[in-house]
Amino acid sequence: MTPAATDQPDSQPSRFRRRLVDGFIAIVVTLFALDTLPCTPEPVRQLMRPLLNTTGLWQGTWGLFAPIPDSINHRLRADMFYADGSHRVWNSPDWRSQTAWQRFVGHRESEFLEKIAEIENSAAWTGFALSLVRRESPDRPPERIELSIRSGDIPPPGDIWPPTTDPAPFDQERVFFMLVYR
Amino acid sequence: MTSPIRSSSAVLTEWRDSAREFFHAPIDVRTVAALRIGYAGLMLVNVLCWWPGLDRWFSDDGVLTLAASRRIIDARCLTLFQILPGDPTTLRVVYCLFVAQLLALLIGWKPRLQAACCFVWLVSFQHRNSLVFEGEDTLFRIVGFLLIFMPLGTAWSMDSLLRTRTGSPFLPTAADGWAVRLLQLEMTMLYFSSAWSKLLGAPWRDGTALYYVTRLDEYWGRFPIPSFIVQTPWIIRGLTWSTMALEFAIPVLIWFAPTRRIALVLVLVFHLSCDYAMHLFLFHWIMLLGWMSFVQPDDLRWMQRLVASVLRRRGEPG
Repeated sequence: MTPAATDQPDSQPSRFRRRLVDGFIAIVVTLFALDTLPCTPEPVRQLMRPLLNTTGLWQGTWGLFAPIPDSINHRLRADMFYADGSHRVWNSPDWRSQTAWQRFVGHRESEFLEKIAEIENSAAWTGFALSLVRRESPDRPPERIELSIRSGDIPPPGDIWPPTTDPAPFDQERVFFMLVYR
Repeated sequence: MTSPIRSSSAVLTEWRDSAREFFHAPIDVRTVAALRIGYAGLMLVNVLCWWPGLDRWFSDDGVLTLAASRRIIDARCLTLFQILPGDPTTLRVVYCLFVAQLLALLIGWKPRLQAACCFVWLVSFQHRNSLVFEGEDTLFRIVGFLLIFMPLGTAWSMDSLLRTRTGSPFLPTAADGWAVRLLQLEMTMLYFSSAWSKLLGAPWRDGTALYYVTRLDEYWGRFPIPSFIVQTPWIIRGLTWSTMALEFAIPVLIWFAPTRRIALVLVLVFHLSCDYAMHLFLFHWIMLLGWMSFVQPDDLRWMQRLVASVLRRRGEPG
């Protein structure tokens, strides 16, 4: 027997089920709207946070380079100092020299390196430093490792707008973490 | 004369009925099937890209132990890795299970069950190491959640094939589309939220925002763009303001029949152009998938006719 196509939904839901679905719709629409809109007062956000975080439905305001787009390019650097006085350097990838494919498959790494130096992620610094040692210097642990961030401000647009291929120099450097092996 | 109480109750009833009509309008099951296949396909690409760095990003031998990750993220953000062993073998088993369930979702074998499991896995991975995830992953999570409530197996699926083979009396071509409506609302709120945020920023208002974005080497420069475009102030200003205008206009235009197709074409052109120019992984593709919830089979036929007529015109001599 060939099944026939029909434009009727599978079955008519019961009144109870319909009310349940309507209630669910109302809750989801309210939560999503309050969570995404920039005008939602902070106390309301705090009130919703437990439910959204526990269910994995948190979003927050969708900025997408807004309200103020980033105006700093940066790179990370790790300096490993050894007991014999020698020194080894690890630098984060130079994004400009990578191919589109390398950037695509290395997307998670670029996300991680973008966020790791932020102070709210300081709990991750020790693990990051140790993972660099395991990867870069597995046979010879250093005495000390320093993580630093080098950054270059994109200058505000003046009379002449520079080409995008002319990056602002990384002229600022700051050590944000140091680990000493005992 | 009707009393004010009765009339307000009548208004409420009318409003409730309209809302019900809006949310429970039947939707073509092929639209849902296309969403399922598109989502599973994108998620597979996404998750397969995790493989080379799986241990590095998600195991206790990697960059972030579970204990450290719990200090970064809100303690209420749950992950199955809190109860699973943290060794690499368990991680690989979980990962393979996740990929297998995505494949099952792709082919439509028990798709709602797979969607629910995939949502749990995705949340677990995202809450295990939030430092490697960003905005697009939020949308992957939200779309994944809404898929659970859609009639995923009714068309173009292993389940519908099996139903056909076993001689099921009928195959519905339409279904209650409330979860698709929620996805449509999510997409419009997302765009509106982004447009509103932009309006609050001086660089967006003065037209220089894209000057900065085009000089961020983490994102810009995926494929070649003529240099005059990013060096000419009036072009950059025009593009900055157009982006903002588009993000305000689409959430409105998309809801009206005469402008819906125009909005869909604008969205398609906007996201494909951005994807060409910027390194944003799958962000623009998951956005397009979300907007696909507004596409009806008639739109595809319209698009086919449009492309055919353009090709025919180009093929004509002279």
